[in-house]
Amino acid sequence: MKETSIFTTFATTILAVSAVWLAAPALAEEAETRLAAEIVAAEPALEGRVVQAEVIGMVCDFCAQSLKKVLGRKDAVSSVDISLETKLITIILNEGMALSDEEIAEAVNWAGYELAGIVRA
Amino acid sequence: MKKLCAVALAGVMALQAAPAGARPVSYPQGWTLMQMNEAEANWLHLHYTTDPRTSIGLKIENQGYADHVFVGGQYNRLLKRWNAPNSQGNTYLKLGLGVADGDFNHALDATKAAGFVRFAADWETRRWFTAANASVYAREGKAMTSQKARLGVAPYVADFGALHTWLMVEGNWTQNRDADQGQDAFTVTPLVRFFKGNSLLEVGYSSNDEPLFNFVYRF
Repeated sequence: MKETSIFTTFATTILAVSAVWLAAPALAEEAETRLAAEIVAAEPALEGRVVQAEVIGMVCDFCAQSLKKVLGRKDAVSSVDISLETKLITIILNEGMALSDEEIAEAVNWAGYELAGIVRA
Repeated sequence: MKKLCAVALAGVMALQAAPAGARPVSYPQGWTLMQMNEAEANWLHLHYTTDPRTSIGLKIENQGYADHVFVGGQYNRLLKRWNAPNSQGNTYLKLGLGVADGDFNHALDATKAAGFVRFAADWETRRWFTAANASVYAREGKAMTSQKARLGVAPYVADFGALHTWLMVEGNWTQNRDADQGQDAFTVTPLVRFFKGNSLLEVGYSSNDEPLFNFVYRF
């Protein structure tokens, strides 16, 4: 390995590490997760339409995007919010529509993950 | 001695498990565009995920030798996934079949059948990332093997929708790179990965003075 290439590689690494560590505090975001009951308390119109599912294996944005896409295709689903911090998926259902625990479990498995539990409010 | 150290490093890294983001299987009915410019190869792969374990697509790959280009289809299979509360592990099989122009190290006019078999594994948490990949690439009459391993750490842990940043190092060992001269190639590439939403971008610089620029987009 040439000296110049070692230097270039080393310098690139140092620059990259410095840039990331300096930018990290501004880039990091606090997880913002509310329990289903708290969501309903804040917005009573959502009563009976909020479902939270805990998912195992969700570790990155691509995982979360997969779950959001698969669940979002369901007619009953109005919106999907995800927290990687708590591993919770918050599903808001369309008014007058329902989504069974089995349907949620099936969708989570279809996206490639496992369902740990469901909370409804 | 240097070579021995390089081989030892590759071996140690290969024992670690492999990356997210560049996963060859997405969610069902999802498309993924992967464009990679790495130390030893440049390639473009567009694939469609048919079910949670399978994707199929097109592959154009330049192995880094003058005018040697593989064009063909690629089948990706998720062999096994381990979902855990704070981690995920995967093993994949990748099969490619098509045609290639040129020898591994000489540009020839002849177009011949070519293909590859690759096995990949990865394991990651929101903080740590490891991946390994072993490959056999063959064109009529000649074969080339290579191994790749990657280790990464996230300096901060971001939540869904935020910008994720990873610092990684990749080792790539290719055997019989130049069959006529009997040369092997080992490269080390430090890189930075930026990951947000459906997009992933990697930028780095290899020990063989080749820039790394990778981009993955899911839709």
